[in-house]
Amino acid sequence: MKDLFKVLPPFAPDYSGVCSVLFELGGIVVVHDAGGCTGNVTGYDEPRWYGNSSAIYSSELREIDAVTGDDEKFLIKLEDAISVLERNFVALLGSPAPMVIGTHFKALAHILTKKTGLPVLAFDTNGINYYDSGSSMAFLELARAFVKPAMDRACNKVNIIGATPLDIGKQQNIEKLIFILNTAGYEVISCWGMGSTLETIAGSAEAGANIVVSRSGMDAARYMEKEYGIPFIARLPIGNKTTERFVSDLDSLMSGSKRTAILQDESLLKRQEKVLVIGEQLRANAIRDCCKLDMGMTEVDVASFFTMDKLLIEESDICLEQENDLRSLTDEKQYDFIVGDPLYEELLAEDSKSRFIAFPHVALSSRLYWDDDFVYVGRNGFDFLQKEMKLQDFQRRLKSSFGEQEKFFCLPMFKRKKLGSINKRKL
Amino acid sequence: MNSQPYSLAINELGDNDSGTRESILPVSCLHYCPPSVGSWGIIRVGLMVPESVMLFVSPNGCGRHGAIAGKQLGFKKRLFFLHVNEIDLVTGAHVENVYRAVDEIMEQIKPRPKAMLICATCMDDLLGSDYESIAYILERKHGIPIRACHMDPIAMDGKTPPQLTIQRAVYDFLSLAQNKDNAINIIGNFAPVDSGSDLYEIMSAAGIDKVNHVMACAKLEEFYLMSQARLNVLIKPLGRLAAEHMQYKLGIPYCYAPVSYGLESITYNYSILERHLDSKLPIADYLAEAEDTIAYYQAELGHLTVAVGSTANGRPFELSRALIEYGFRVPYIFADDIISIDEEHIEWLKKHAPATRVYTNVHPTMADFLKKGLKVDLAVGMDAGYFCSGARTAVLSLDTQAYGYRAIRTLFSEMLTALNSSQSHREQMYASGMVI
Amino acid sequence: MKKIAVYGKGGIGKSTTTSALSAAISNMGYKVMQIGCDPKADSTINLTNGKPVTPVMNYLKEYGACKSLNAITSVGYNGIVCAEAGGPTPGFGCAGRGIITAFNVLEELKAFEIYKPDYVFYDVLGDVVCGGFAMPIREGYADEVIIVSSGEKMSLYAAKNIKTAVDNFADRNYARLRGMILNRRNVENEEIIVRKFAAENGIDIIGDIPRDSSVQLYEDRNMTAIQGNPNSVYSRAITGVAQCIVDDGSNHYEQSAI
Repeated sequence: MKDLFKVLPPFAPDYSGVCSVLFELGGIVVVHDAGGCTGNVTGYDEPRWYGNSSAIYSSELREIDAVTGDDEKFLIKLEDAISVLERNFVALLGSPAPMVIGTHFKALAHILTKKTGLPVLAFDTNGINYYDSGSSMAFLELARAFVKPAMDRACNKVNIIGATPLDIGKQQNIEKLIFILNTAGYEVISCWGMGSTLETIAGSAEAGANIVVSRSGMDAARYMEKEYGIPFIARLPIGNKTTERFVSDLDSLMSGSKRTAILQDESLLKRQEKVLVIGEQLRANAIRDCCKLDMGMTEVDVASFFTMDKLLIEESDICLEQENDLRSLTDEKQYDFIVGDPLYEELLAEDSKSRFIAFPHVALSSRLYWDDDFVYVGRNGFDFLQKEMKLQDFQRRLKSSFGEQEKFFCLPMFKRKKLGSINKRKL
Repeated sequence: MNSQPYSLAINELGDNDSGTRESILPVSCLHYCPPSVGSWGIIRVGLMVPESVMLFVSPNGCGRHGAIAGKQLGFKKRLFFLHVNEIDLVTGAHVENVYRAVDEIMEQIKPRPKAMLICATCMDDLLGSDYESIAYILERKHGIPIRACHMDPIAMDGKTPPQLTIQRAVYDFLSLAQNKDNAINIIGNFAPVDSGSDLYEIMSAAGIDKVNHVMACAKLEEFYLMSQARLNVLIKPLGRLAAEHMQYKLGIPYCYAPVSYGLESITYNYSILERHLDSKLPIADYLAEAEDTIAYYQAELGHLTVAVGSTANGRPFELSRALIEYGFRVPYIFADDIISIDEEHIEWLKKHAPATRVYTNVHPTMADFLKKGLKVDLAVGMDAGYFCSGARTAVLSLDTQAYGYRAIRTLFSEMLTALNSSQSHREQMYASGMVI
Repeated sequence: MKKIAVYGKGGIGKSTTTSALSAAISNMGYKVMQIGCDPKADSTINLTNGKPVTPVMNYLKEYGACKSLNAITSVGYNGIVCAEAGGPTPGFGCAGRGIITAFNVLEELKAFEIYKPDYVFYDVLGDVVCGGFAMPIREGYADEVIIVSSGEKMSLYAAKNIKTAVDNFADRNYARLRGMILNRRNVENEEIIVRKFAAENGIDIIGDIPRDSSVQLYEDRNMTAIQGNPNSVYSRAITGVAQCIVDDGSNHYEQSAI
């Protein structure tokens, strides 16, 4: 049955996506909910929450206020908080309960701006849609509400758009990306999602190009292209030749030439193994590029439960809707390697499980693996994939020699480390 | 971007004029959600029913924390999600889907579930969907007990908040027993009382054959036997609706003898049990043992400064009072609600520790709290440990249950372990699987 | 494009009046769209010669999503585009919330961009009873609200509620109240009662529609009175209100009354 999820936990919801984008920007971010939704954000979707002073709140909506449509109480709570907290903007987010009663956040934002003079952003999130729809609308809203027109654009300056922990993980991968860009002579003037203040984001229009690192950043990048003429490249460099290609494509973009598609490296020995990458579109595409360009694989499919951008999709890519989709896909296509969040593994066809390479995605597995984050941008990503694939080849050879008796050998290195430390109590 | 955190002196508490009698917060406000608050969560509590599964019906996001905690702690295999989309909810189609989802679970899940909870959320509260009747129909269709339950924090301020109704739903699986046995049930909490507790010895001496707890029942059939008990001992306030329901439905009377750490409170609890069991309880030796324990640990621990929080397995004001009575200093308490049985302890604190300051977990100004840099030697409770960062934290988790006089020993030994432990508060917290 | 939401007590003749206004304005050469916001989904029945439009909610219930505007709209009398929000399974879901969903679907399918109507009428069930029924007057939807009322007490009571709701929404940038149409039920002293009510509540009266048995006659034939006989007293009164709407600002009824 389509909407019945028996294995996967629910994905990070849209309000978590919005919160993730706004997390470091110094605003008062309020989820209009009864408390549980905000608990999802702070406990399960935001690795930066511990020890941070980001002001994310629940409105503590109660039944009587919902049924009577008492928005006034919500507004009073907001004004009270604004009066004691020194923050520079407010964001109002929806959740399932206000969706049912049809709370009009735009109107509330209008009233609140009039009363307080602060910019107030309104997001019609509902907890039904997945995180990427929320982060996408939040990035776009940042572009619309805060980016100021620039006098000049500098062709050695770039912005990174789309970098939230839900997709990217910890900051180390963005630091690596910045290092790659700096080495190539570029200055990163802002990184939307992590590592930048609202002020630096406001100055983004000075950049010569935008680098989009997750699908959620696409709408904002398109807006910036239309509004300020800033071209964008939607790519996360994972691997060796992919990183070189990324830099050279960025160079051409700055000099006004067209974007190039990732092509096969003809000098590489062709490998026949089929690969499936499950996950967020841009990172999955980056892994695909690495498999093709660095390893010579020719058949690499991307599958995702999250929205895929038409510009970045390939013909054989698969939009997943229900849990069974993944099982039938892996049953049918007999992939040699499957890369994805560890929690997808249980859904795969039985004989696919021994070919699984765990690549955690916070938007699915939340806190279960977020501390195991590793550097995959640049060369490290290639090293990781190559090592895991070699290990699996070895295990397969071992299995064909010794049969099934040692199941231990079939677990990828990464998971062996982690599963022992959790999963230890009955309830 | 700094604001002064909201707090009250202990003397300002329970003051009816400022409206702080039941809540520490004076007016309703936006709620901060620190990483350190949380409990077992509705899903985990519901799944205390042995051999049960849960179908959770909601928009995608609602069940996320429960599911991840389930993955972490091992109960996800018993938990299924029916995701509701916008069209389903406005047309009411999601209610129809529940029947199909239960059919699929009953057909496909091996071993076949023996009991089921169907959990609805805030959304269905607002739509007025009747899950109880759905459960009734499905129960007949599939021949297993099925109950509706609710994770609806939107009903938190009403008479039937979810933390209470979920426990009622758990014990609603019991039906009226033909025979009575000479057992008591411990209810309201999430773990059987520690095996070393004096409760067992004292109960045995009073002729009680068995002290039951739902989490000690591996099988549904075993759980059903709890309906034969002669008394329910409610040891946590969140089991109140369950206790009342069992009194009404199963005819089991209940008494309230909440988990306590002060000698006087513990002795009082036993006097309550004495009254309800109509039997003199031999407590003197245990009281003397507790006094020895206190003297031993006082020497061992020294005069520590302790912050007390609300996530610990106890009541913050009672716990603070006990610690002060045992010679510690409690400068800070983190708590959000005041329940009526706390009042005598608050009055005591006003008199004996007037310098104590009370902070909440949830006031909006708590976002900036860490900059305040409160320092104590030790924190009891995850929230106190978070807000007094750097302090070693005695978690006093809800996963085990100290009770009786030996709860004092558990408290002290956890404090001592925490002082000598190198585990970070963050690790402790994420390992706990707490859910808001 | 001008968008108008028509509110009033149930059974007061909103759908009849709205459909007649749509027909009258289309006769003036304008492109009109009428959206019924009532779970009964019968607002536009007399514009489509009795051929029912598939309500948005019914379509969604059946197919889960809607990809084509044609599936949920129908072009009726004089090119008037008709749509119906529809409602949930009786006893389940939420009718008010359903209106929001239906509007979102029409917006996603770019209904206004495609049909480019000059006038849009929202014919809304009853009162502004909840968030869903306020949807038509939110920013981005109707610019103006028209109340239809007779001189009956309950009808005026509902009119007052609607006026209060619109006033309460003033700080939200919602639609403003254009005025009320007196749809006569031949209550004693009806005009005096309604005029007094309107003056007390600061509402303009923009039309006085006489009770006319021919309306029923034409509705039995699945058409509006405008289509049936554009020169009847009833049709002339409706056309007067239509003119007032088209002329924007000038109030023909008040002027003629003076």
